[in-house]
Amino acid sequence: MRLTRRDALLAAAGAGTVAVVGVSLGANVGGERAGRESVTDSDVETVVALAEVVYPSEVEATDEFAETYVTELHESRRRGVTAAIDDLDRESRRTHSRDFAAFASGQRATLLRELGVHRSRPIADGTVPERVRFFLVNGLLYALFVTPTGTGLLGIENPLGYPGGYESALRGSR
Amino acid sequence: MNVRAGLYAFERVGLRDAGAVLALVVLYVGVSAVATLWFTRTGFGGFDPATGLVVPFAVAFGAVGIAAAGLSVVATDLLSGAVGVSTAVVALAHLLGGLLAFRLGRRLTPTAAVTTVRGGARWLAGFFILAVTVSAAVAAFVGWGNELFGIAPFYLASDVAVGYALWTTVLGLPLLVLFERVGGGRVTGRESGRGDGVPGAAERPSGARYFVPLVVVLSLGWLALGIVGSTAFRIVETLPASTLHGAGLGFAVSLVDSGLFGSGAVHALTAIAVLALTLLVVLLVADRRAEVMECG
Repeated sequence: MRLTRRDALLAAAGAGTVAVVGVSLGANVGGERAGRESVTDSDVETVVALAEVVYPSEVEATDEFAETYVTELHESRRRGVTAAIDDLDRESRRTHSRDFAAFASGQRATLLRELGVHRSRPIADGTVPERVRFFLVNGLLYALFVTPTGTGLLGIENPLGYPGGYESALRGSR
Repeated sequence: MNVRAGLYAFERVGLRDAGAVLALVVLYVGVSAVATLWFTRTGFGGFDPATGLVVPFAVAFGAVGIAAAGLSVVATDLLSGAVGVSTAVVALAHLLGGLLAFRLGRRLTPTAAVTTVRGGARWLAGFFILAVTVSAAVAAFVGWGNELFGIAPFYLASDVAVGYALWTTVLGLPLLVLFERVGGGRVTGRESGRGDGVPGAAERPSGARYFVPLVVVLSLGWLALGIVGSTAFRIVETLPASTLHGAGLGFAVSLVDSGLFGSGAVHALTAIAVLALTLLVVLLVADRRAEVMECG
């Protein structure tokens, strides 16, 4: 095995070109992550499907809840949510040929694990699992735990912002 | 042995190179489709078993198999409507994995050696080394590409490596044996008039002995360094500056804040990848030259 300087230069040039093109393409891809402003029925379906995995079994997320939650978000946040939904569906199709919502609840949980969502931190401008965690998983959990339905699961009947919340907070959970 | 020995099976049914590539792509897509069906019906799944076909494709069919391994990714993503940047990343990773498998296969699993039990055991051990090395290299490439294009953090490449190694062993190993028994042997190098194996260690020029250990160390090292770097960076990012200063690691704060390593340490991971890819390409080219000299 004889290595020549020519081999090394050719290989370095090739790998360098790939890296430079990759970094510049990567920057462009990163800049084009803005999602859609409008929310489709398919988006609502995906949010409901995700809520079935993320929410405790006692809680049922309806289409109305999901639609209201997504459409009432600030435009910038809504774009993030729709972009994360598109990414989630694309990864689902790439690995298992179907949209995320087309699978049963247990299979959706497996898909999220395959995607690494459970091992990623929530980061708004991060990678796909990080953005799914930020915009979808944590967004849905936030939507649940700022309502009496969600906090009631923890014994807090009056969360802050609801009548009696201040007294409830002072009294502590029972 | 004829240089096209590995393609005898295809030629018997009238398929030339393009036809053979197409047949292998169809096999890959078929296995992937069955896995999807299995996941849909049972909910049990995880890693795509079709990834286990890359090694037997490359080792048994050479350039035809390597091309099929890359094109298969494009075909499956096209059929599922999921073509994107990750398609290119995985397809290129399969091409790299195929090239490594082909070169390593000629060094580690020469079929001429399988005439005794000891020869068979050596062949099997060689295959495991090959499977682990190729899995590490493919996973490292996928991890780097995913981090670069914002698809997934590098540290998730550990899952890719495990799935790849698992299916290469479970599915790839018996399939390679089948290809070689039914298909009439494997493709041999154009310059090699001595069959599909390479000369024994005693006959080899001294440099050739270093090819396998260097590729193994480089592939595993690239994956390990990428996972450690990606994980460590993300941990440091989350720590408050006061914690780092208190632990005497104040320099880490400025490293993260300065953007020196980029988001998710992408700059550092790119540098590592350029170095690793450069060395792997140099090793592959040099090994091919060495083989020509050995056999020529």
